[in-house]
Amino acid sequence: MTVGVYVHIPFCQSHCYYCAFYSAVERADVYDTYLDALLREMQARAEDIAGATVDSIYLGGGTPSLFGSERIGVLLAACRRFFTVSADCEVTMEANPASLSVDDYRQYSRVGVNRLSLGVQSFSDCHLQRVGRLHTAHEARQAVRRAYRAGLTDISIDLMYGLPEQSAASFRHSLLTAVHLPVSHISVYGLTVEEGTYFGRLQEQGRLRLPNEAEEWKMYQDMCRILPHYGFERYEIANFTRHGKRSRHNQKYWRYMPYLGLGAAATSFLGNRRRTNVADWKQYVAGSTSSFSPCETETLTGEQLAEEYVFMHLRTREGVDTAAFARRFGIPFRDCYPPAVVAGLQAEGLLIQSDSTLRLTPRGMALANRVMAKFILT
Amino acid sequence: MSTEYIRNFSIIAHIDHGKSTLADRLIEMTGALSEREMQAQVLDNMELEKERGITIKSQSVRLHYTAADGHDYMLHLIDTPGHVDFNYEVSRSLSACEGVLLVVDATQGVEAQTLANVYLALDHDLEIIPVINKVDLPSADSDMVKEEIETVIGLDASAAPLISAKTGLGVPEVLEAIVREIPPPPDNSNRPLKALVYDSHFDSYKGIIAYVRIHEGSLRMGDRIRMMASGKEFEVTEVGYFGPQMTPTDALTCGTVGYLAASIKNVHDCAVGDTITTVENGATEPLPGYRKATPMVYCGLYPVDSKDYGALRDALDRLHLNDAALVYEAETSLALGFGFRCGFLGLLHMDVIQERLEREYELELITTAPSVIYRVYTTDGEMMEVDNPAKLPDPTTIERIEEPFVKATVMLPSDLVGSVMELAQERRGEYRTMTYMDETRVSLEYDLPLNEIIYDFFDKLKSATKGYASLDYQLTGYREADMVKLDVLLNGDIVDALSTIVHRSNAAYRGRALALKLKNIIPRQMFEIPIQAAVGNKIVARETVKAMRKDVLAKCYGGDITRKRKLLEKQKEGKKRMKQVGSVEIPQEAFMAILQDD
Repeated sequence: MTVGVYVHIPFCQSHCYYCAFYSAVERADVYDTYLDALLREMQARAEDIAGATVDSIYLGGGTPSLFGSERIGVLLAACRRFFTVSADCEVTMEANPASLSVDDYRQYSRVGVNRLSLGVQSFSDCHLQRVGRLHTAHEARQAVRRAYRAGLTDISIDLMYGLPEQSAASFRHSLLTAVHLPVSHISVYGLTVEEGTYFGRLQEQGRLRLPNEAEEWKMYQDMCRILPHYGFERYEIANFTRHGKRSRHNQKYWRYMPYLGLGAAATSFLGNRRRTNVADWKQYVAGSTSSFSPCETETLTGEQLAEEYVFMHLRTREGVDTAAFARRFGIPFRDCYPPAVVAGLQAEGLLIQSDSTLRLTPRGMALANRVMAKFILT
Repeated sequence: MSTEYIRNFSIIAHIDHGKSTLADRLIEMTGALSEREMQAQVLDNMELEKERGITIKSQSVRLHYTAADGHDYMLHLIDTPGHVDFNYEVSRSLSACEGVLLVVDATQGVEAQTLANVYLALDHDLEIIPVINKVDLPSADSDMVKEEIETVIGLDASAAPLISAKTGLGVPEVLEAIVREIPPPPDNSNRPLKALVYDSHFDSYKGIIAYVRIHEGSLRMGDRIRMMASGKEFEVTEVGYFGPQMTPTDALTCGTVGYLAASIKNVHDCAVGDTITTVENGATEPLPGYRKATPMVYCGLYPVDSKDYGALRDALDRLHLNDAALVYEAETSLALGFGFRCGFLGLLHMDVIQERLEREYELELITTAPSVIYRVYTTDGEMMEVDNPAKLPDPTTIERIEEPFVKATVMLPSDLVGSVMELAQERRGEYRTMTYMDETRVSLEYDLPLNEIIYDFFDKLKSATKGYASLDYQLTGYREADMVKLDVLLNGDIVDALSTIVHRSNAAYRGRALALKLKNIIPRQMFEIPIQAAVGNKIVARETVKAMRKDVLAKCYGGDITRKRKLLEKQKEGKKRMKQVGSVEIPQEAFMAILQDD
């Protein structure tokens, strides 16, 4: 059995206006304290995945690159010490496109990072400013090239559409810039305004000027059209890759496979239990030295497991394999979901059934929530 | 036992004038409940009543009071609803009384429903004791209110107790006035039993509990009784009084008020208004019953889930038991399936019933827009009453239509008369009279089509007068009117449950407003939905619900899955409350759209 490991490093230089992930702006002298806590949790929870092979490690945040290659090296070495890590393990690190030199990237590569995820978001300076990013479009392009030159050739970038005052033309520019850089993977997200973010507050005050629906639809269509044209395969609703460089780690989420989450706010999914650590690094550190580690756990019912299995798989290009579903849950798919549900969605042109698999059509991808809601049992 | 020391009375008042608070104080001061047992507004025990601060169902309570003359009196307080819709219930309660307390707010004066209630009391030949409440408030003007009572109602208010039901000030005086002014019930204890059923409710263990006033004779446990209207016979298993909880006792003597249980299972065997007598030596003539309440407003009630049809029928049966004014019969709608056409006394009554069905019986309902009863004269000389717009016959077969008219009385500050007149005019009202109640307040009378009142007249009136106007209305008769059916087409198909009957002059305007409202209510679906409003073949309005092309597509990683599932569950839950009509999903509130204010 294989398992993924997610490590959350919550520290950032500043809060981006859209970001609802747990992050904290702290001085660098707390990093070692946090690293120690991570190592303690790693040791304490190694038994949770005993016997499984770790074939992906994802350092997410926050901004893991703030940690510096030395701490990242310590972290990855500890992973190899406490877990059984496969030789070809995918090791992804998220980084901000600002101020890292070729040599910095080389160091990360040396300590074991073999995949880079850059939070570019846009190749337009004015939108970068408007969402609270600290880098420029130029720095973003530079970061991709430097990482590539350093031998980190597996590069993913994030882009966003539907940003305040963004036009379809501006987003198209970002898409076209991206495909002409040496990146093998692009994640594209529509902006969702979350509570507790700066954008959330702006929206409450009625001061967030988002593009209208027609404009946003154009952006979505450009994404669907331009990326495949440049060889990117849409292997998940919001994720595109070329040269077959899919994210092994993220596929674990969509394929409903197990993962261990370490660090503040990190989520684990093992067996039928989902556990999320406290979203506060100080409490997390305190918990790591006592017998009590604050977290929320959820034991999923059979129905919930089935629902999640289906809607997560529906996000992927391959869709749901009903035969695999039956093997996993010991019940034929059609006993769980009446054929009429599937037939209805097929008739609406949202779903395709071929052999034993169910996949979203392109139209179904755009209306994914509508389809997924039909597979909610409770 | 002689009836000399019994007093039966009700409290009547305009809404919010303090009727229930006074009832509470009377209960407290006579010690029927200890302070600990008192919770504010004891008699309003329906959750809905407390929440809205209104009395919907009558309740009763027996009080023991030692008067200044040294005698012990048995007082029966029969609470009454305060809203104009429930006049009928008031009337029922009053038939169990010999007198009423007329509560008038010292800061507001006589209001439309004060007057309506007084007329009801006069109809029943009751002694009326005016009581002026809220005299402790800074804006109270007792003298002006006394004068108003004298000039507007024609009652002597010089000795009216000045009270504060809230603080208890003056309430002992009220008790004395009850004993002094209200006559005891006539002593007919030697005659055969005649007990009037003035209300009832259903108890799962004891069957129907009939609330009775013993007019003649007496009633004891074990008596064989006969319901004079239905002829059905039962053995009394329990008699008692309301203290205010149901308190069993051996007998109910002449002149008293209480309840009886007799294992009566069938709702129809114990009609409110029926007279109960004994099987042996029974009375031959029943007491005069009640004028049957005539529903004025009709609407369709449909379960969202068609499986709940049976449950809805049972719930209506139960509610009908102590709400004779609620009428219902099965009907079918192409759009909504099986349901009931229900008749109500007014919009509040409709609202209350709907809410009780949803809360107490946990039913999810779709309510169609309310309609009045139209008299439709067809070309072949027949007259049919139409309470459902979908049933209006083909216009070519209609010779004429008559609609119900009411006499509406609006009492309001005189400087706001202009805006109310404008509103009444807009609603096809005909001015009758205007009288000054004092220098600052007037009473305005209009003839108005009931159809116009059941839309948003009351809301509009309140907003036009900053809440200072009060309204009362009575059905006066039918008048010919140029009425047409306004249909709504969704995706080209008429949705029968959305049809309404409107005056031709309003049809285009109403059609446009309705189409626009529906556009905002109907969620976007995968295809474009044209919404059209039509009179006959003529389209008077068109709006379009644009097709939904794309959902919000958020990222979804490990930590997001639980949240994502909850969002999808919520989405599915929202869908459940929609009705699939043809290919279109319509939310519940769409069917009431015509009533909603913009």
